[in-house]
Amino acid sequence: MKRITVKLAVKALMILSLALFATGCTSTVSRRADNMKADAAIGRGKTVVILKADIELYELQASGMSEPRADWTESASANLSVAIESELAARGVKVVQASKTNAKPSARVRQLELLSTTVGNAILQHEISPYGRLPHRAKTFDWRIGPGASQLRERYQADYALATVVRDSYSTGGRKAVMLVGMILGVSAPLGSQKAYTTLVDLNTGKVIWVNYLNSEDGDLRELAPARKAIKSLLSGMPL
Amino acid sequence: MRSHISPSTWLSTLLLLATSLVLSSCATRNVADAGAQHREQVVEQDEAGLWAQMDRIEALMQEAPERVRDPALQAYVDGLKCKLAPDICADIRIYILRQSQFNAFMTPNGAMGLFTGLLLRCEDEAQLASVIGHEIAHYRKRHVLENWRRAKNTAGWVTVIGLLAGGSGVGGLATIGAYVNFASFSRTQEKEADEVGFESLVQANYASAAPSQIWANVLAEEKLNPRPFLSGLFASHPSSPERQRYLAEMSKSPRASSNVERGQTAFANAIAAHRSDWLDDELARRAYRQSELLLNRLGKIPYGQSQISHAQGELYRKRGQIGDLERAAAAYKRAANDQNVSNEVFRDLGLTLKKLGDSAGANAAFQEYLKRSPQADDAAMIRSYLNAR
Repeated sequence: MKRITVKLAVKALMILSLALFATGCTSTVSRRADNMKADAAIGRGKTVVILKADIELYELQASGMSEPRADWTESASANLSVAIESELAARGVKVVQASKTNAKPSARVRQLELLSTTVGNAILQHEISPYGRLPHRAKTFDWRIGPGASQLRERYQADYALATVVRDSYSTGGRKAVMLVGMILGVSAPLGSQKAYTTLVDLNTGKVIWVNYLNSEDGDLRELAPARKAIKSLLSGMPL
Repeated sequence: MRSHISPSTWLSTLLLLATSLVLSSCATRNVADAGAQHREQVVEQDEAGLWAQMDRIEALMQEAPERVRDPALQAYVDGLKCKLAPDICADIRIYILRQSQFNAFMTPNGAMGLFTGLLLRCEDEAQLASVIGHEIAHYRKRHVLENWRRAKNTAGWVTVIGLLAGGSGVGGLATIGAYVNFASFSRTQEKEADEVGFESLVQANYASAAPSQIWANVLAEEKLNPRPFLSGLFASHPSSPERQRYLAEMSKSPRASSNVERGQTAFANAIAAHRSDWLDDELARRAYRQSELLLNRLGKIPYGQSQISHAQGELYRKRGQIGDLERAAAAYKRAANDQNVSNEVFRDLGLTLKKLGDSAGANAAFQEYLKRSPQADDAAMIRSYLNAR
């Protein structure tokens, strides 16, 4: 009898903590170039090219497998594009949308665009994560996409480039049932989450001047209003 | 005295039942073959999602620096694709990617990747056609979608079993069981692709022994792999003796055995301009035992033998075990005797003879190199060797 009561108490505690964990929390981690003041607003009157965002939305299956959803991805892309543009415009920045420029970019320019997100990912692995620290990068924040940045500058006539990557998942009924079973048994089965990062590159120097990583459990990107909110979090602290 | 069943167990059971009801609603069913312009019939949510995801990956493949951009070679493989699958030819796009491994893949949206390591290992058009036919069959049978649906269901059960096991401690076996089940489904699909691919090969009048030959060649190489567990090749494919058996059996069927088309010359011409690069990539793997076997095999085919002899020389010179310098020199000399010899053979022969202490022979080889390519990037360096005592 007594043992069962203790067991139940432990489980109730676990459920409570899981429930707390599950009620959407949002966290961000960012890094900015050395000597860049916290309230810097270097973007006034400058031009920023918004590179084609790398977005994918998934439906989280009962099993925990993520099924890519074409329709969700499409609406999220459209929403994020609108949200990023208006967020930047509100800061007095001139905006160029890479995806709306006429000619297809050259292979070289495309590789440089991809490099901007790749460097953002490398910063996550080697600067933000405590497990991937590179000994020679202990002190300074010095990440760059190299001299090729000038080609991006010329292509888009822009001073800065903003590259964004978003992965987001939402749960199915089956997954929700699994989560409930998990709660009872004290095993965590998350209901999906939003992970995004954005990299701001100075196209005059090739330097990454700011990155921000977003880890969130709420904010439905398939709708414009919450997408705006998510972008506000993602771009908060951007020195533009 | 209360019941022996605790409230938490009772609740768990109820929830498990609810979960299994949810899961069983998405039972697997067989997918129909993809016909012409299947893209327009992609309406179901999961297939549309897979296609959209693959379209994005394909865009990366189109732009990839590793992509081999040679209009002649591209036209050649595209021609094979249309010969093997005239009905859905326009739905398949082939990307040749510069990677030294033996591999090919098919994405659900019709993009096929062919690694140059695979092209290097084919001996003729029939062998390449057997691979392309096999990959197209994966597309036609919509195997990725089928696999995806099956995995969703299988993994769903694994999760439920795993969750319950979290409390009771009997997890491992069920998980492994479900996994093996999943892997064997995939082998079934490989066999189906072998069969459908073979059918298209026979239709196009190619030599029916080609699939079993290419597979035997790859197996022989794989036996020399020092790290077989890192190779993904055998994880998803039918076990080798089984596959050998049915491929050989297929080639002996009365309908197929009269086919003789090999397309050796056309294949040789298509890859000629790239073969030296691919051989360099092969040696860069530093898997010398495997490369040695491969080169010995390719050296017996009656085309591009000078390229192969040159690569054999490079292999032995780079490996540098006892007797390798002598082997290298012999291989370079074989290459030099061929009328299609490349200029660099003489430079590499010279470097090898120099190491062997044959300065007269080295000088003669260096002089021949400088005579043939006086403007070479390294001409000045080779000249300095000539004058050295």
